[in-house]
Amino acid sequence: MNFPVIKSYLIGFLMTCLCLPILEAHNPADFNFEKTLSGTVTDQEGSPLIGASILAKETGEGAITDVDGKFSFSVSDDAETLVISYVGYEEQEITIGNQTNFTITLSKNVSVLDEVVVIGYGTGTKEKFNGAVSKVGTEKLNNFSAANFDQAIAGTIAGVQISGNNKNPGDNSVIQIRGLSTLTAGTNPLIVVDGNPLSEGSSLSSISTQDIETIDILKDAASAAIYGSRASNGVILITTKKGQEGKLQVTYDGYVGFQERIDNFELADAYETARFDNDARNFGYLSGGIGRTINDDNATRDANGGGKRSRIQPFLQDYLNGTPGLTNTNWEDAVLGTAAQQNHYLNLAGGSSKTDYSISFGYFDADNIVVDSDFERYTNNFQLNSRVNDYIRFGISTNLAFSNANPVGNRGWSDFNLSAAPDPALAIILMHPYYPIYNADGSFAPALQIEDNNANWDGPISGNAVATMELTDFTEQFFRVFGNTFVEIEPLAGLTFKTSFGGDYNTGVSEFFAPSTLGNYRTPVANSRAMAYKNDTKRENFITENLLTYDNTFGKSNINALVGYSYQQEVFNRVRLESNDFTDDNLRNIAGATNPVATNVSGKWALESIFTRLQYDYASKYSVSASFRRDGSSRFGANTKYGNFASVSAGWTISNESFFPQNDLISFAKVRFSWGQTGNNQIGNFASIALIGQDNYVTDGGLVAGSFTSTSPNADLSWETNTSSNFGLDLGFFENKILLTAEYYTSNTTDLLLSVPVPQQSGFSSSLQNIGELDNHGFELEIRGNHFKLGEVDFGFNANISTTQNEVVALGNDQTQIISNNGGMGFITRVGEPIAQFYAYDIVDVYRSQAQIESDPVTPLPGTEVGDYVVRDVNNDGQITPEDRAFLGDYNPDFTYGFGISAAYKGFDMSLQFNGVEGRKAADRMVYYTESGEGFFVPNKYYVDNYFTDDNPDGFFRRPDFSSFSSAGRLTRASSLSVLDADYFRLRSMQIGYTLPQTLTQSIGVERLRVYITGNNIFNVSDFRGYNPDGIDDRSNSRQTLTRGWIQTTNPLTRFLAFGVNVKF
Amino acid sequence: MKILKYICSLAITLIAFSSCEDNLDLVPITEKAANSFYSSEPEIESAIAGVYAQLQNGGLYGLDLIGVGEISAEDSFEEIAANDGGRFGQLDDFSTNAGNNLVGDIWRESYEGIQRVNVVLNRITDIEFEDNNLKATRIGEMKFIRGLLYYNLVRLYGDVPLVLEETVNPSDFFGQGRAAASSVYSQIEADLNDAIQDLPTAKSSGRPAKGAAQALLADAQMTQGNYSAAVSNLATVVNSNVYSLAASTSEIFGVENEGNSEVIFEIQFASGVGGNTEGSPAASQFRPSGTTANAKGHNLPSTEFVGLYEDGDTRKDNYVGLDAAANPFYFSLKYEVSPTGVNDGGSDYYVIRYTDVILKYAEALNETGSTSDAIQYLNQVRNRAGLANTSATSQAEVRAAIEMERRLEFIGEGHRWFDLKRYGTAVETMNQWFAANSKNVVISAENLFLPVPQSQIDTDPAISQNAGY
Repeated sequence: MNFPVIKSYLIGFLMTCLCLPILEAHNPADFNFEKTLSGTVTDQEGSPLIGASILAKETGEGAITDVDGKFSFSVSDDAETLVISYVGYEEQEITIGNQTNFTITLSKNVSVLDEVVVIGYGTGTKEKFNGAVSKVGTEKLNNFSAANFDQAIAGTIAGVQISGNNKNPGDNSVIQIRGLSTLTAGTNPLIVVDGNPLSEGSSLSSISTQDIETIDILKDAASAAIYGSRASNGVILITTKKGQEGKLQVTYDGYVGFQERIDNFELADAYETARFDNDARNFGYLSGGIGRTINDDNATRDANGGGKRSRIQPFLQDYLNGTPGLTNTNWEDAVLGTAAQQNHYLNLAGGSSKTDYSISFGYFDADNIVVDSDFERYTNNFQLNSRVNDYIRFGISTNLAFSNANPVGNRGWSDFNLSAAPDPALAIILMHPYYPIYNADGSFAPALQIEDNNANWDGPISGNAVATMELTDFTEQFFRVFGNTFVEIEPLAGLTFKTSFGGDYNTGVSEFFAPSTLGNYRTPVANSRAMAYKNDTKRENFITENLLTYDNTFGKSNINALVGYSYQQEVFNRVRLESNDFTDDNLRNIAGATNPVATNVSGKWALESIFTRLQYDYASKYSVSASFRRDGSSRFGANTKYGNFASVSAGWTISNESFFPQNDLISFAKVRFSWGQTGNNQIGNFASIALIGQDNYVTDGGLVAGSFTSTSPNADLSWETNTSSNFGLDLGFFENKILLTAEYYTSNTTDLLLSVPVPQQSGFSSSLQNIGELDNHGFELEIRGNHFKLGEVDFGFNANISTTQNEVVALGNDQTQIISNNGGMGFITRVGEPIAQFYAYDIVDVYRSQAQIESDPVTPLPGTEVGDYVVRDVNNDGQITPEDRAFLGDYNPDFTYGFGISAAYKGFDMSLQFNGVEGRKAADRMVYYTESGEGFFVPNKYYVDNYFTDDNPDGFFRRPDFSSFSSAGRLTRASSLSVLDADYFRLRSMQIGYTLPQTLTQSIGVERLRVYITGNNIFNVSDFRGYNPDGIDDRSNSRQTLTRGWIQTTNPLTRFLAFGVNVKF
Repeated sequence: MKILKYICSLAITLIAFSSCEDNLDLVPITEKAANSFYSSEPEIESAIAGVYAQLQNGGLYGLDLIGVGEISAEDSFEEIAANDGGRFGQLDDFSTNAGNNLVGDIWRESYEGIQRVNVVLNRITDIEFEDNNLKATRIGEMKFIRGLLYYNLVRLYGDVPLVLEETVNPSDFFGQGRAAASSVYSQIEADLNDAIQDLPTAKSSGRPAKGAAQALLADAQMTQGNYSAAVSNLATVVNSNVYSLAASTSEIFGVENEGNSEVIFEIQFASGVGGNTEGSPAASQFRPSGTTANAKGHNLPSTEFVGLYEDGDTRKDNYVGLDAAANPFYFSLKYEVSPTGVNDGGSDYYVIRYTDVILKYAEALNETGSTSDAIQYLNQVRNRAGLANTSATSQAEVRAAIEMERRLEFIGEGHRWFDLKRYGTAVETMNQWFAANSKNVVISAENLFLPVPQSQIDTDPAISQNAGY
């Protein structure tokens, strides 16, 4: 019974097969027939249970229910009690008495210990498995309504953190399991869908969440070690829904709802911006030269060399006077609106005694909350499993997804160009509210601000963010098929050989077009040129695996052994065409270009592996397991192609010992330990080889091909190796209705794949090396219980808390620290300290007078002026130097937590899931710009309320300045004031449903009809002033780790509310 | 038996997929690998083109090296000091800090260029060239460029790390630190002397010839105060008859005049080529804000400076433009704005032109006592600009006249700040100018060098910071 991927009902089905011969072995002639018993076995919802076993306890006579859940058999007189059992359900005993017809309802097993957990190349139960595995079932997953499953697991599992910028529906999240175990290699966990390992970074939106039966997350190294070189960030195993023996069952689930912003980001309005603008222009002018006064008119300011940024726009005065009815465009509301989202899912499943099937169709459609952006997806999942005879089984599973999106880009402002599309959610901080979206005649005013500022004031030189979205085209289409077929034979009892072949085919086309009628950053319409690009990507991945397993029981000993071989390879290709050479705007794609430039990029990797595992347990008390995997990867240096990864684990179920006191409180107790090694190979395909880059020259107008060495070679480049230990404790309470799991782990990563900054006289700015060492340790606690009865209320709960700490033990070559910069914010990764602490000047005050600067015993930064910040002298040497940059915390939370409750009463059901993060810091580009005091940006409300000025002498933000920012002002631009608390507490998901009485629905042929309301982020408690503290910069591995906590661009946090229906026929 | 059949077929499948050893030794498909490159004459030529391509970058002759030589001094200014993070604005009032992006870009791109040179010099010796003279010429070109890049570095930052080998492991450079300026100058002179040996007399487009190396060597010698050595090197260039002054000041700049007789070494740019990748960013960014796409108002000639042109000086109209309706600031006409894209200007940048050689020759002659010879060369330049002979006669007067002639001639080309440093009058001149213009700025000798990029000190503490930063 060791099919690599197996479901609880399959076990039931197989048990049926195994039991049948036993039952038939009884010779009917031995018994005295008294009566025939018959009846039906159903679950709590009234669905028939197929293959449930009914056994007379005293005589051993019995039967198995048929496809309608019915049974009928004869018993002798001696039979007094019927034992009804079914895997996953509580066993029931019924006294026969005089009854001959039975209607038996089995309730789901509340003992969480019997839950099947999926592990690599096999399954186990909590009782027998010694690693750290967390599981999420379909119900909990679908409480959160999103395009991707990754967002749905947030907050439900200890030790798993989900973040990401959610710029577009369907975008992947950043999944982090048990902290960061790497500095610059990839941080993606390995994701395995029905046995197919997906390549890193592949889109998670290709799987409909509703197609997922369970997600099992392998958190400790011993469990993950069977996946070797790809497992050090953890492994996520996804099992999709399969059919079940019985008649065709059709289910439909659908919801329709809306998303809206619930973040705290708030820009100043036109009247507040005018006050700020006026101050910034005046202060900049006054501090820029001698002999200037605030009353100088624009001509005088020009004559004094003040430039455009010193001029005061005449229309400002009306705003300053508070004249009502002036143009006051709310760009936030113009760009960010309410977004509709709907999902429809239809599943047809069933099976015979030999074959089961499941087919599903999904449709998901979501508007982005950003104007003129949406995402639409069609999915289809097909599963077929069949038993040809007693020895041979085969199965097919395929998943198909097609998506069609109008995404937003990540290019700042309205600064679209050939490398990227615009990001209007960010552009709003460069949109002055004095300018309208539309002209009086209703047409777009694409460039009023740009043209006015270009010519006269040099304010924000950005095009109209709404017009930019509406008038450009940006589309993305993806088509993907992945699937797997297997054949399995069992020549001898307990010995199975399985061979499988899987593939993943993925194509994508993205196109961008901007017409010449649009203003662009610093480019008025008159200078604007049409531009377009087209990206064509294709990825083909296949895997072949062969597994031999042996499973047997000798007395009290159970043995399970596995050997396997796997080969996987991937080929990737991208063709890109781009041009800004258009004669007109007639064709809105690259075909209209006169001279498109083409680039072609291909990549390939291969991974070949052998692996083995041995599991042994004795008398349900002692269990041990060991595994080994050897991986060969094309990505690594010639000298280090192969890596070995081993693990061992052991568990002791104390509660099964005779000395364990029998009591009502603790019904189960197990301690376990595991140790294992895993690797990380996420470094790109050819990082070990020095590559030649292209840099062309031009001579007399003709292009001359030029080359240079673009990366440094490293033939010794090898696996990053993670060694970790896990100590686990499982306690079951009240007949295992409550299970508590505590885990403590330590992990150590050596040979870090580190993209180290190197002295630039080498000709390189960074180099990828295997150096350094990193420690992690953490603690996780999970507790859950289901099906408690409080009167007629069926009640369940779950809670988790986790903490993880990391410490850099060593970096390379006597290096003690790496200082990285992202968007102006500094981060330091230093030996003996955690990864990526914010590293910037610590602001204690604002210099409010020249006298204060002069009398300060600490020499301030060069060029400090009144209105600049007072910086803390960290090293107490009496002067502010770069040595005074302070450690200001990091993005790694002190702890994260989640808890949920569910309750059912008669037809009503409700479930709530809360989660939170404590002790985390983040810096957000939008907040930092809008609070910088630089007149180029529209300030946020928090800044205009709190900046230092004559009207607000106690203000704690620096004085606004547009034209003559001091050098000290530059150096303190990113400071402790931009490092924000990124904690939150959220009602992450909510669902309240009502199931109509069956008596009512059956009359219209419906087995079950449930209506519900569902929602995400119902409320959010947070002081974070940006859009969303989870929106970390994931543009590159090193940014994601060495500058973790920097938010480059993200979408606002949204609340989602929807109405939905489940129907089952 | 049926089972056996299944086992057999599965075993075959297993074997079929088992022999995959070779699949793990993959080579890049769409990128070239360095270990198989640099192995033939065309590949070395491509690497040499890569060296020239590096010089086009924004941190070098695309933008920053021009700006840093100009905005620091008094004749050009930054329209909007706060623009681009104060990249150029900080140069204008000497508030440059170690985080300034220009400071980081010039450093990084110079060393990238030096490394490209080092790779070529390391590999070229083993490569068979069809024509051995050409191979020697290419070696000379590379040494010229390495000398040029180090000359810029040593003038801007003072002591700098000295690297002459192809990098094997970038981590080897931790702890290396900065080499004394004197040893950097020795290396510059050694490279340029080698280049003089290797380079041909005749100039080819886009490449330095012997005269370029002699002119650059003379410049380095003058910067170190060795005027007599400079005189002989400059005399060789002048007497080579390879170069001559363009007939008029309207025939020097602009795309149609590229390759004229006074060009000694140029960085070539062209607009609308290779997907608009071969143009210069300087053209649009050196325009007053709002006058063209991506105009940023860097490196604008001041009104005060434009007033220095005498009546009849043809350079006033040929070198400096004004579009008063769009923006009341002057701009340099030496960089042609392109219609094809924002950073795609087509004008070549002249690193060394013959006028520079003539005026440096005059300067060196004057400093070594040959004032009357100096006047003769100075007058060549004045006469071409439509001006009468100079009235200066004494050594001091001629010195001042040459200085003024250089300001008028080279406005916008990034020479003035280096000239002031060479004269040793930078601190005095700038402080007088700040006082006269009501600017609250006073500089000292520490301001003569840029700070070392903070990122480099953060990366390797063996790299020290300059005094005053």
